[in-house]
Amino acid sequence: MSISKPLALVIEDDPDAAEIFSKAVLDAGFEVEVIMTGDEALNKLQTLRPALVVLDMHLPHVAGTEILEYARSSAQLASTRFIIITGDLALANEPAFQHEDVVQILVKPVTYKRLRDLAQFLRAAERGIM
Amino acid sequence: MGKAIVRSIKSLVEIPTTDPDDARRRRLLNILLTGTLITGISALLVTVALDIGGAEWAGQDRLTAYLGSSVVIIISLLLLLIGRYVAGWLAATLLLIFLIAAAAITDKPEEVTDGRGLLVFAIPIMMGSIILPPPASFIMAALCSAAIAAIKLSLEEGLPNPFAMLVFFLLATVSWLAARTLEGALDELRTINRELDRRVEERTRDLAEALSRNQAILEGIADGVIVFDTAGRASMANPAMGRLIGLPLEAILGNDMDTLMAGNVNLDDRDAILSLLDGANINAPALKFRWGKKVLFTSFAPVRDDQGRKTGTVAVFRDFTREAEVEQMKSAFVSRVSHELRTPLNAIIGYAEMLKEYVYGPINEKQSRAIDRIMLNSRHLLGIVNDLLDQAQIEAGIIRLRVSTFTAQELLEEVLNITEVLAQEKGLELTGYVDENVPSVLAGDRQRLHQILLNLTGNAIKFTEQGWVKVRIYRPDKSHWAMEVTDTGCGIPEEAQPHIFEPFRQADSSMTRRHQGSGLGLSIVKQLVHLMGGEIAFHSVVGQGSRFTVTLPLVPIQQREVNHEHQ
Repeated sequence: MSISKPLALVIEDDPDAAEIFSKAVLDAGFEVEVIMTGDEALNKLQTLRPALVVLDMHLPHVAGTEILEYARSSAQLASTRFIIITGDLALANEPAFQHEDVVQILVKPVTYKRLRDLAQFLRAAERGIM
Repeated sequence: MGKAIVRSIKSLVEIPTTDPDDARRRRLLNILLTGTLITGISALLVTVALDIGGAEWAGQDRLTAYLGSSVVIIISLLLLLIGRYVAGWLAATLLLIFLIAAAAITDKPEEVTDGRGLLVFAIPIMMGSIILPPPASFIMAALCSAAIAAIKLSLEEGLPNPFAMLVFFLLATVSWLAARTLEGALDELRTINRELDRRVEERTRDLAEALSRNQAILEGIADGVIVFDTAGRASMANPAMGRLIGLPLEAILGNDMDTLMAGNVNLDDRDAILSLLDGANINAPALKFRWGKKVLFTSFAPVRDDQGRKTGTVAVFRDFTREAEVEQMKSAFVSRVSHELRTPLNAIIGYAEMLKEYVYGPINEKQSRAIDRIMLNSRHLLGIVNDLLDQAQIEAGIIRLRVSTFTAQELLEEVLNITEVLAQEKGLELTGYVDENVPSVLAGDRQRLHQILLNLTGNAIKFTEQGWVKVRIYRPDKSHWAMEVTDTGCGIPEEAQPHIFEPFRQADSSMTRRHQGSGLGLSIVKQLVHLMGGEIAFHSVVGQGSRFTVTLPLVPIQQREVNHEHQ
């Protein structure tokens, strides 16, 4: 595990989905940390500076939008990019998602391949910038 | 003491009868007797005054004056008493006899039988028809005739005066006719009166019955009812209304709707309700809204009078709180279940795909095919779950349209990209094009439109074994655009055509198995199209193919929901 690998957070309460997402992001070349609850996510975001957050909108206790709002209010998370995962087709047009830090809104079922390719694309784009 | 006298006089002239004719006669008799009584008293007083004043009287005259006035007073009083306590007719008869007697003896006999005295007899004859039953005037005429005959005979001056007697009877006839006519008219009047009384009573009873019936209905029904007058103020409300909005009836009456709603109903709903109350929205005169903690369903209808003039508005409020809760629970349940179903399905699909992608190491050909089957079936199951969720949401009326802009080309390409593989697998030619006159930017719920076109195109491919499937987007008229999917498939049998939009219907049930649908697809498509204010139509011939056309307004309608979710 090289130091140069950027960090990706997978915020997902379902262990199976978390496993699939983390594998996809890992295979795209990120270092991965899985967070299962919204509270923990808010905690971790105070110290960690992930390049990418894979965020399931349907978390128990803390709404996904709350995590998004927190990240946007934090200066150190300004360059963090989000991939939003939602089960509700209709949520895809939510105003909170119409923001440049949201790379893509993926509607479940989100497959390993889809997420891996997207994360890979993001990684390549970042390398290109840097 | 004075009062006692007044009371005894009053009681003297009281009329102790219910027979209206008898009462009338007695009243007249009383007036006459009172008159004679007063005349007698006056005469007595005058006599006394003259006497005190020292008038020169002939002895005979003084006696006559005192005696006469006293007799008049006594007879009047006596007759009043008889009339009051014995019988009115007896008093009247006695009075008349007294008058005849008086007429017979108060003048010179020759004046009575042949001169001016005759005139006086007219009085009892005419009075007879008034204070006794009318034929009594003939008896009086007879008595008068007898009187003058008797006097004449006693004078021994030959036969009585026949002309006088004839005149008496003529007079009696005229009096009798007059009195009879009068009594007939009075009788008719009484009949009319009685009829009127009866009718008034009947109408009053009917009205009271109708009123109490309406009142009972109003008070008995569970729905709240308010009647507003033309000024918009509540003129009537039933107890259910009071219970519904937690106000006593006195607090409702006299107020307008806006005042009643203040603080209980949100502004949007208030505006909507006020416009309903104005009768502005004829097409949808009903609304479901939240009043405090309750959900009410209300409808308005104008109240008109016989001439069709609007005299107010009646508003009916139904408590929908329980139903709204059930609806809420139902939709919560559906989305919960669908979440619970989809999560493991997504995991199955996810892991299967990872296996296929060699994430967990290489797999052989047979394993790969098995994984393909797992993925195919899982996706099918996921499709069914999604359809069920859509159906449940449509049924619960909680589906929301999200309008955005997009191009027809985008929509078409997205659908073709997904369906191309399926068409290729079956060796079908799949083509699509957008007509030039379609606006470059369309507005609508893109996701749902995508779902509709995908369903129709998927169906066309599913049911076509050879030939082609064409997808076309065009503009049928100024204000609409349309999506059309044409195929060369098996077509829909005529007997099945009326049912294809019903849930869980495919042309035959074996198709469901063979073609792996949920049986909900077309039903959902139709309901979505209607929700968007559009129409869906089809034309199909067995063995030749089908054409489905969805026509939609260019200006998309916004959310049509009436149940406002307050989340």
